[in-house]
Amino acid sequence: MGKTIVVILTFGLSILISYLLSLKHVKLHNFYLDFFTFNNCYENQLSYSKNTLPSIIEKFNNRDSDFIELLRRYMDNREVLNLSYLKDEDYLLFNEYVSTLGKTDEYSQKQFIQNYKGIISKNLENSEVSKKRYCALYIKLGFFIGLTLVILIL
Amino acid sequence: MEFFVIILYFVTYILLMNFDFFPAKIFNAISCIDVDKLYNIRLRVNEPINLRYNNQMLFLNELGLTKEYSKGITCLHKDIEEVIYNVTDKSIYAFNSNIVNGFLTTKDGIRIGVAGECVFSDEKVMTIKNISSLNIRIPHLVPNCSERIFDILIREKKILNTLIISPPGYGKTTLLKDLVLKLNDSNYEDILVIDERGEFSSVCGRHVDTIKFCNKLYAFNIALRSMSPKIVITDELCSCDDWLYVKNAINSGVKIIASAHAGTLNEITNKSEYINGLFDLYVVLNDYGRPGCIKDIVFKDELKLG
Repeated sequence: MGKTIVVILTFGLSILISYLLSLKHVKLHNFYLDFFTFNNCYENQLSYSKNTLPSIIEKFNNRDSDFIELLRRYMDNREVLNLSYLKDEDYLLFNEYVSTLGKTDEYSQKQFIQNYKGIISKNLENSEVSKKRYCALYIKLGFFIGLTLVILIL
Repeated sequence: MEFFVIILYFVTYILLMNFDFFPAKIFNAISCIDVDKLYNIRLRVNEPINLRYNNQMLFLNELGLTKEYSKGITCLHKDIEEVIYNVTDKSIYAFNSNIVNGFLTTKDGIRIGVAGECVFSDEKVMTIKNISSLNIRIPHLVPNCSERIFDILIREKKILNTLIISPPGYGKTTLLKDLVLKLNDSNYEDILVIDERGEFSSVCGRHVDTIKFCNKLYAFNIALRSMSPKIVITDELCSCDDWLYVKNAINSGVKIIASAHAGTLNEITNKSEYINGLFDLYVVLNDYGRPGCIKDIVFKDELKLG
C-alpha cells in the first residue's frame, strides 16, 4: 500500500515539475499574444475611434493579463512588475514601446506602431515555437523520468 | 436663502476645479493661493511661471506668489510636456485635432492655449510639436452676471438675437454660461450650446443640448437640423463663414446668442465679416473687477455705424 502511494506521488511530482517548467514558455507566449493584440487594437483606435489609452486598456479583452498589468503600472508610475519569465530584452522592448506610447500625434503614433509591429510579431512567433517545442519536451521528459523512477522503485 | 445657495454653488465650483494635471511643484505652489482670484497661468519654457491674479501680473513661487521675476518657479520643457500628457489623459494622439486648433481643454473646462512649432503637410497643419508656451485660462462662474441682459429679454418677452463683444479675457464665455443657466432655469426650451472648445462642461440642464469640440460648419449645418433648437448659444464668431451661418440660422427662425472679439461697437461694425441688422442687441463688456461685467447695452436701432 505504502509503495503504491510513493509510486503515484513520484510519478505525479515529475509530471507537475515538467508542467511548471513548461509554464514559463506558455506565459511568455501569452504575454506576446497580448502585446500583439494590444498593438493591433491600438492601431485601429488611432485610425478610427481615437479613444484614450486608459479607456483602451479598460476595454481590452484580456485586461487582467500580465501585459496589461505591466502597462497599467507604467502609466500610473507605479513599481514595475517583476515577471520571472521575461528576460532583460523583453523588458527593454516593453519599456521602449511604452515610453513612446500616446506621447505624440496620431501620424507619428501610426509610424511607431508600424515599426514595432514586425518586432512584436517576430517575438510572438518565436515564443510560439518555444512553447510548442519545450512544452512537449518537458511533458515527455517528466513522463519518462517519472516512469523510470516508478520502475526503479518497483 | 438664494444668496447662500449661490455662494455655496460658487465655492463648490472653485473647490472642484482640478489642477492635478500640473507637475507636483506647480500644483503645490498653486495650492497656496486663492484660486478665486486667479484668471490666467502662463507657462513658457525656461521662464518663470506667470499669473494674472487679482488683476495683477505676478510670478508663482514655492510659497505662492511673488512680484520678483528672479524668484518665480522656472518652467522647464518637461513641465509643459507633463501638463499636456496629463490633460490629454496620456493620449496626445486623441486630442491632436484640438492641438492643431491651438487649444486643449481639461475635464473641468479649463482652456489651455498651446504654442509651438507647426508641422505642415499639404498646406495643412498636421500637429504642433515642441510646444513651448501654454496659456491656461481659469474659468469662473459669476452668478447673475448676465442678469441685466436677461432682464431685457424678459421685458421684451422674446429672445433677442444678442451679440456679446469684448477683447479676449473679459468674460464673454462666463456671461454666456450664466445666460444658459438662467434661460434653462426659466424654462426656455431647446437651447443648443455650440461648445467648440469644451468650455461649457459645467453648464447643463433639462432644456440644454451641448455639442462639443465641433466646428461651426458642422454645428450650424447638421446639428441645427438634427436637434431643432429654438435658441443657439455660440462663442466667438470670427470668420465671414461664421457670420453667414448665423445669418442663415436667424433666417430659419432660430434665436442666436453669440460672442465676438472686439474692443468697441465701432470695431465690430468695421470688421469685414460684420453683417448689419443681424443682431437685435449688442452687449459690450469691460474689465473692471470680475469677468463678465457689462459696460454697455445697445439696441439695433441705437447702433451708429462708423
